[in-house]
Amino acid sequence: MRYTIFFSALFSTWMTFGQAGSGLELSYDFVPVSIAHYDISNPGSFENKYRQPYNYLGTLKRTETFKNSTFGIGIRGFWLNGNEKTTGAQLDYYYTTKQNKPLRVSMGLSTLWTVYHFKDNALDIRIQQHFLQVIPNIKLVHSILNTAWDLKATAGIGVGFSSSEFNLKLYNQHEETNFHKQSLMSNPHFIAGVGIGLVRNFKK
Amino acid sequence: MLVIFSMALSACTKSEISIGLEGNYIAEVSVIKRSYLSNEANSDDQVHGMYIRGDSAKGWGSISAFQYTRELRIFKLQGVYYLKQNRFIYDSVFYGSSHLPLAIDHGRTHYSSPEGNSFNNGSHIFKIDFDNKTLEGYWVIGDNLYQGSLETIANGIIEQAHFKLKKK
Repeated sequence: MRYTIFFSALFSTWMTFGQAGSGLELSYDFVPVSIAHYDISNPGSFENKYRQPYNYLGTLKRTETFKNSTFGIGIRGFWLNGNEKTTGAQLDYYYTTKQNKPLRVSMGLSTLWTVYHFKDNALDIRIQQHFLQVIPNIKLVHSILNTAWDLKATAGIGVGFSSSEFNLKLYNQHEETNFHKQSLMSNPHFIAGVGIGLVRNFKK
Repeated sequence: MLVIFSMALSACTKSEISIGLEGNYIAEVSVIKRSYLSNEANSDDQVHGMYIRGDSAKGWGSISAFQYTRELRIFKLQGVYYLKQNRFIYDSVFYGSSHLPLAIDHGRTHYSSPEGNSFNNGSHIFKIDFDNKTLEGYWVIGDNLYQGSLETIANGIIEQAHFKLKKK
């Protein structure tokens, strides 16, 4: 069912975007961020770990090119896993610095936003986390000859932010008890990321 | 594009993908043995690092009488499976709950508290192991017979039981 929804969204989006200088990208970006990791068998204990946000599958992105500038906006796809639900978005800007067909080199900035929820009333546990990653990137695009398809690869180093909140309702209490809270801007940290993808170009 | 999508999917670790254990279960239990704690000199068996004596606890009747059910819940959080069980005694008195991290390997799911008594800040003994396909397995439970006491199981019983999980 999840695959059906994913591919239906992909196909319908594709049919919509037959415009000049536009494209559709499907990519996988590996950008670990500092995530508060809870051991709920011992409420209150946690450790921050660098890792890819849980259940990430890939990013579907629409791009629009004006001369040497390319803007991109996309959704980050996540596996909906029981009580864990994650959504995300990505915003890109790239400027083409070098173009020798079939290779194109661009410099730019990617902003990734992810929100993670764990909630189940029967379990009395509630966790919410936000991740913001800002990464200056270099992007290489290689055209596949005689087709409208490109292969792309990105790499960059940037800064990440993460917030986290863990609440648990104890059996003899009506109100939740907060065991940990971390604000988004309290722990900026360095991040590094790489990505690969496939691009379908649409021209006038 | 299918290739890329497959790569993305395969990049997720096994622990991130649901393997179908999540949910609420009723455990149909067949008690194998209930025994009192003992000391080494008087013991006739050893379970989970503790000495025990007797095949059944006083006042509990025969082993065949020890059939009951217990509700369990399995869920996953940040790549880790947990077992939640609300613990009751005398069928109705709340006796505490726990979220126990489960290990899943070689087609089996298991958890084990440290062996021995008077450990882990007074937490109770619990060991569980079951087959992921048949959902059958066994557990060892150490309980304090004194209601309201959540200390060690010095005055308690040890139960070994076979069970089969049925999804609710």
